[in-house]
Amino acid sequence: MTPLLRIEDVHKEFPTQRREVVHAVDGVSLEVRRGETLGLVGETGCGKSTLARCIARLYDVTSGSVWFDGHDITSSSRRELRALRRSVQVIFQDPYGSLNPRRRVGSIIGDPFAIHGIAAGPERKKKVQELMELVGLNPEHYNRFPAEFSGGQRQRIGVARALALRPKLVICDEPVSALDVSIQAQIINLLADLQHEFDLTYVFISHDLSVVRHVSDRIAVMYLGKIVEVAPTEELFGQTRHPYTRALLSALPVADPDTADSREQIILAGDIPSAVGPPTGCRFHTRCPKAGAVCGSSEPPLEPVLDDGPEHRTACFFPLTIGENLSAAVLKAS
Amino acid sequence: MVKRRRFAIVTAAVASLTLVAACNNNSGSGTASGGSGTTGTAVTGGTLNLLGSGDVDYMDPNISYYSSGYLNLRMWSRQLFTYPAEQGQTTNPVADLATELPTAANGGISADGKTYKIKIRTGAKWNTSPARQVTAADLVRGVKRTANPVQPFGGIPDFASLIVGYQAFQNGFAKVAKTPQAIADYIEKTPLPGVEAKDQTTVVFHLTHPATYFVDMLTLPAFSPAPVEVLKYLPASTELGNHEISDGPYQVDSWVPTKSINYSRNPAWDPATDPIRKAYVDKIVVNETVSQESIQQQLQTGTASADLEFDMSPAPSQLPALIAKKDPNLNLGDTSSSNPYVVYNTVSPNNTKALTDVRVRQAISYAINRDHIIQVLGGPTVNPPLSHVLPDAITGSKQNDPYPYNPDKAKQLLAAAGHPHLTLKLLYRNSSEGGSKAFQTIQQDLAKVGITVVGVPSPNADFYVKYLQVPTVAQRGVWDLSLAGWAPDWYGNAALSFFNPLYFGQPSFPPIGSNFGLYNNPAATALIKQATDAPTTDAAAALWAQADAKVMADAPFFPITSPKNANYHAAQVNNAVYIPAIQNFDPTNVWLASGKQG
Amino acid sequence: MTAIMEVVEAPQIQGRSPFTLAMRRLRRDKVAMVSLAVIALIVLMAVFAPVFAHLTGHPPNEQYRDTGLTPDGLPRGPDGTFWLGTDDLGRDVLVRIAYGARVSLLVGVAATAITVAVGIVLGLAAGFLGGIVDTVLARLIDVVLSVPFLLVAIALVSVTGPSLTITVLVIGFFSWASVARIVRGQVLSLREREFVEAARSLGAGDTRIMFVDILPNVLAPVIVYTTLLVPVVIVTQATLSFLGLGLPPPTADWGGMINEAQAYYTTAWWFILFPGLALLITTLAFNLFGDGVRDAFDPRADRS
Repeated sequence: MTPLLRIEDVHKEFPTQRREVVHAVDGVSLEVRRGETLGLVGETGCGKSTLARCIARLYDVTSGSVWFDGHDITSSSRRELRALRRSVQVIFQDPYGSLNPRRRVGSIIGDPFAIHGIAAGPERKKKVQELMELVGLNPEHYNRFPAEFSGGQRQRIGVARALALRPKLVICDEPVSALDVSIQAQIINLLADLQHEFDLTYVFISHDLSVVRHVSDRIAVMYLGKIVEVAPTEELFGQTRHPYTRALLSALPVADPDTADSREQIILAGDIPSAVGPPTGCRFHTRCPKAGAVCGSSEPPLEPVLDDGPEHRTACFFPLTIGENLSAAVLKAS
Repeated sequence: MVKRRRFAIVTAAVASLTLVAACNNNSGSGTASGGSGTTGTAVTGGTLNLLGSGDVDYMDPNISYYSSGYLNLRMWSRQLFTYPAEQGQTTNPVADLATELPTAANGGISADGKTYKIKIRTGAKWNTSPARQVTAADLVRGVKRTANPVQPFGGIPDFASLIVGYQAFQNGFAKVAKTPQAIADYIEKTPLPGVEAKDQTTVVFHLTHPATYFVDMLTLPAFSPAPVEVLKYLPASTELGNHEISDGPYQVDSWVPTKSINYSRNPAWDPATDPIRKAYVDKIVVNETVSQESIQQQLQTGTASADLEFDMSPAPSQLPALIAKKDPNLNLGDTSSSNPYVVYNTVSPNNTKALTDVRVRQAISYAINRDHIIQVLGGPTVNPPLSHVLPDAITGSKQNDPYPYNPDKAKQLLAAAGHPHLTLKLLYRNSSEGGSKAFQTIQQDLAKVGITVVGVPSPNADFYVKYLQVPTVAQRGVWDLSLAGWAPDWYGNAALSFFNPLYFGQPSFPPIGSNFGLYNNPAATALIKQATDAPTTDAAAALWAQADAKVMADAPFFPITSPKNANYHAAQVNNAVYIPAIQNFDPTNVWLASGKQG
Repeated sequence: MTAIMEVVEAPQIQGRSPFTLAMRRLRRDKVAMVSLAVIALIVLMAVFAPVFAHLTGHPPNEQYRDTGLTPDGLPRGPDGTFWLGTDDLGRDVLVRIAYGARVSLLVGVAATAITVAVGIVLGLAAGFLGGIVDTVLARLIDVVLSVPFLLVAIALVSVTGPSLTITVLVIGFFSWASVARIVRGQVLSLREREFVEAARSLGAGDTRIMFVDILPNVLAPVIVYTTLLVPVVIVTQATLSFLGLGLPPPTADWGGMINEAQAYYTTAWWFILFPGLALLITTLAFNLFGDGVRDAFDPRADRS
């Protein structure tokens, strides 16, 4: 069975005002399987949102190809894209910015129907109110404006709008990071329920590993426009291979303060390098405690390392072994 | 063929519609002007201050064509004949540089009426150093200068075909380079057969046909003598204006265009040779930068620094009050103009060519209420009615009112002509207050006889150039009615100055003539020709009266008024005599009361 | 803030749009409401101008040469017959002011409508489409804004001849650039907002995004500008008429009346005073109302 979405060696570059080029996405290959939730994590600015927009074809990719449901959609025409929009939807991060403040909720949720000419008049209203009910909103609030809702309610509006056309793939771009922690769980549960009910496939983007761990079947870790490690969720947490993934995990807050003490805290030296002139070789070598000479000269391929199965791929010349303490590596390096 | 002061009338139309004046016929011997006349003994000396808002057209006697230019020339340029500052006589030419008026009896006019021999006064001198006699050669030179290719005189059509050889002289002149040297060479070397210097002070004119109006025409400043020195400069140039040579009582000390003109006494001028100008004041100063309101205010308060208007008139809305209190300093002077009048487009294709039918044109004439238009233009005091072609002071004028207001008659005529309902397009200048008022009033009047009048407003600049002067515009029916105005180039024996450009058939069609409605009746044309060539003034007058009646019967236009020109002078100004030719009081004959001579 | 709290707690289901909220603030503005009442009166006067003519028995273009004009052709002052006196052709000034209101309001509304419609469309296109479209339109806006309006208006009218249509077109042509500039500026920031991306992800085309998603967000400043533009347009129309470039006579309009009255201000004060007052009161009312609208739509009060 073909994956629902497959991308191959996708690059996305942006020109800057100073005639430089930002390599936001720098050769990413990935696949998303039907019915799964693929988590995409990384620090702010690593290119994960850009990647999401390339997948949703909101951006044209600079090079590489995007396949959806067995079709190459890399250079689809506007008309073909319109059809694609019905199958691929996006839930945006900012429930304040993504809803038009001057339009009523009913029209916002009804937009997909209007744009694709699916339903009009009372029929559209009925469908919208069903959707509102589905995502837990009071259908009587049909005529209200976004400003009259709380953040969580607004994100429900965003969800309702994304689901209106019964898409196959939903790209959730940090859907809960702007919300209070207490509200986050509600939305995540809602998304889980809907996935179950409508057989949805999610690409779930977040910088918050704990949320991603909760929702994802598989997780891909991005650093400076590249995937550094991808693995089924528990394997990523259990057999972390990439030093960067380990650094991210070490920053996770832990519910039990006792275990927190026993975990090593890795503070990465320096800032993320600029995506304008990214480091040669492994992008991470400038900050990696385990980096060797080879890391600065050649790029590690994304492939299974050590004894990992084909599901777990890592782009590192010096992958971590189970139980290896990174602090030791830091000492060794210095 | 004849192209008269149409452009003068552009200003005059605006001016006299808004600025009008009134009193009685021959230049105000009535209530208003009299006070300035004869009280006390004349005092010499002082500075006469003239206030205005504009400049002369040209500081050059042979080129100037506007009344403000003529006013300026009155101070320092003399002609063979001119109009005296004498109440009741201001449109009758008298000898100025000439020793006497030429007649058949004194041998000045030949038996066939085609040769005029005129002698210049000995002792009339230029202010050259040393002072030099004004000669017949100077006069020939002046006449030749009117034809210069740089800036020809605007009134040439008046005499181009009258003076023998003038047309050929002008045609040759047109090919000459526009440099002072080339112009001087042509003038000095090319003869003009019609104007001949017989001896040092005798000039002889040869005409192609008898012309009883010729002496009147010689009052035009264009026929002033020109000393040889002016040939150093281009005609009408500012440099020349600042180096003019005077033969009048004053000379130009300085001229700053659009700012000021200063005159002082001319030491070469001998009062014994000039019976016309008394030249009481020592200096004359023209300030050209004062607003109309300010001028009126200063003249009325009697400050010593404000004596006369230069190119301005009292505001029309103030006139009724000044007239009502019989202000002795106000004068309502004759203009001998017909302004405005309604022109009918006699070739209009509109309304199935209704206007080509004389009955329709007569009907319109019956339906326009002259009194109404006169009232909205300021009342009959400033706009005395005119019901035929020639204003009263023009030789040949004979009272005749063929179309008294009669809407019933108008309706009958329209019905008889088969045009009970017409829609007429009236062309008028939208920036002219008088034009707009006359249009709206005519619109109201004609509505009462079933004629709808639609306004065709035109910007001032386009009015003549793009509409009236283009015969095809009339033929296309862009307009049916329009408002125009007409002033003669000279006064008195000047009927030709009306008929030739306005009603003389084909030759009077625009753009050369000003017969805007393309009126063409061979019978009228024949009468005009006859009157032009008439041997005596009396015969001419009778023929002009006939031509007037003939044209009126054909109704190519509807006369309304011969407006008065309003002038105001300060109380200290004495002997202020209005002369139509300069549209002002004669500054060379006023005197200032002692103590007010600033 | 109180208003917003009320909204959240209000049991009503019908939502309060920012527009509704602005209207509510506007209704509490006494000066704006009085101005609105004055504007309403002027509108009524314009609509019922024939009633004025009927009550006085004086049609607007009828010249009363015996009762309304001196024999010297001067206007007559206010009296029992002519309540606001007569003009220089013996016509009733009151009736002509009422008819003149029609012209002022018609031009005010029509020219403003053209201005705003053109300005919005071009401003949207420039701001949203960007690229060469923006470059060309932005230059065009600069050019139009730097053209000396009155000079060109005078030149244009002298070529075409004065008429109502040309007046409206001339004013519209020279005013759209300001609206376009305002709209463009707003759109430049709005198009980066996430809801635009959201609309695009739903499959909306450029046209729909411009008019359905972005347009409602630029309306507030446009409404404010529009209310303040109306009096400017009315004055401009009066100016053109005053210069003899407005409506051809005998149509009554205020600028034309003031122009005709100039020559009579020393002798017939009523002739210049009343049309002048009509113009002053109208523009003042629109300006004060416009100020109220601006305060009501103030973006600082817009957040909820």
